[in-house]
Amino acid sequence: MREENNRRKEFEDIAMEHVDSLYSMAIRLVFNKEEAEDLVQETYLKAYRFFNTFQKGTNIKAWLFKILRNTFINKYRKAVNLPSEIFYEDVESVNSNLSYKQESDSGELTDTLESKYTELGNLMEDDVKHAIDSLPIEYKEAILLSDVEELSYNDIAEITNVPIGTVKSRLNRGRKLLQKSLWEYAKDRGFIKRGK
Amino acid sequence: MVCVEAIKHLYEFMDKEIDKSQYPIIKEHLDNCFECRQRYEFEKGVRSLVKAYCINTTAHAYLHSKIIESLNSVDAEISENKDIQAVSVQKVTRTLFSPRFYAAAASILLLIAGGVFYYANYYNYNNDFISIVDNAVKNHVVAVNDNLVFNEKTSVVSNVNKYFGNNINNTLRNSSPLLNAEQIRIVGGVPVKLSGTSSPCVIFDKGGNKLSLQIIRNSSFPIRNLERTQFGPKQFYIGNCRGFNSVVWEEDGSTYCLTSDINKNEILRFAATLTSR
Repeated sequence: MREENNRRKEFEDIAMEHVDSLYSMAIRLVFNKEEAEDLVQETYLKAYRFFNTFQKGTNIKAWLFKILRNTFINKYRKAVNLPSEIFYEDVESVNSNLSYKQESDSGELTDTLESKYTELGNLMEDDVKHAIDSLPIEYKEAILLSDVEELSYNDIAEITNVPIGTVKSRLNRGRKLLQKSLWEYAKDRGFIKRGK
Repeated sequence: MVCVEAIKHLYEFMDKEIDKSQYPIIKEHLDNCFECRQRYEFEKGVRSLVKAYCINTTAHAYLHSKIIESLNSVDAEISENKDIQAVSVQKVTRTLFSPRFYAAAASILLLIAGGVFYYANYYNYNNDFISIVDNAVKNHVVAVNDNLVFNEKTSVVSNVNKYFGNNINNTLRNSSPLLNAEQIRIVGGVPVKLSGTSSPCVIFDKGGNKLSLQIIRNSSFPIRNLERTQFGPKQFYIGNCRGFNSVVWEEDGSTYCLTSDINKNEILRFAATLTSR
């Protein structure tokens, strides 16, 4: 049984420290404390069961996130309506070069960037929560994996099962949507006085 | 570098995914271009908001222990499914010369000797493989009811129809010798004759293989060299007795010894099904 104990110890040593990270992602996926806990627990059970398939030396956190994501999709397959990949990619490729220019031309972004940044601090925690939660799931997961977990594009591509180019465009578009959304909340709260 | 270029690569720059040769170029631009730096700071601000919010969302402490607990169930499951690994060899010598040992050994020898004798006879007319336990059952048992077949000396128990078909005389009154039903006790869901011999024995049929279970009271082991092994929640001792694999375990103050010519892992699995009942 010594081999079993080693396996168990190794798993606990490298995997258990990521419980909070996985939970933090899970709750942004299912919006419910109990379900998020179940999802994380299920992820760990699966991970432990298939621990022998984990390639030593690779990123265990990315591996756990991939299992979490697969578990989530299997469990909530009917509820999760992943939008058409091609549609977004097309929109992205058409708009990517224009967006910055348009924003600049509108005069809105550059004029208010400084105030935007200053005023972001006034956003309520709930606003941030709502802004993240209202993102389409494929943007949300890319942003959380990159901005919160600081995983590489490569890891994110592996976790979400898409090419790196898609990861980049999801981050691009997702971050813009998130900023827009946060900005809306800030406006609604009246923290920012426009035209000042 | 123009602003459009810098902004185009801003995310890759911030995500540390930009080509190393590009990094200082963009950094220099951000340092010197007010507008782009503003944009960079804004992006950074949004990120830290998101990160701060998510990092503050932590799991309850009990989730951690709940997971650890559930890993135990996986451990148990794994040890059931994978080949059993015996860890340490424990020599049990305390009962070597005890009367119990001799009684048990004599009982096993009797069973084996009888089996060998009939097997040898049977083999002359039939080339089909029949195990010695099969033959012991076939030639030493009497029916008590549909499920019990006892032999006066070896206390063999099994399913009547498996061995005798419809020809068996399976009424208690007509069986010989007459058995007292009070001597029969249910052990682990299996009827066992506990008195009459010093070592009662049950024969199981498992996919054509025969296994004999002996009940040894007072926790004495009939086999000298035993390996201790864990299977599920229970500890077993594996040994070999004259070419037969044996699994020994304790339960409710009695010691059980399962013997067969099937392999160790199979016999251990079967033993576990007897204990879990």
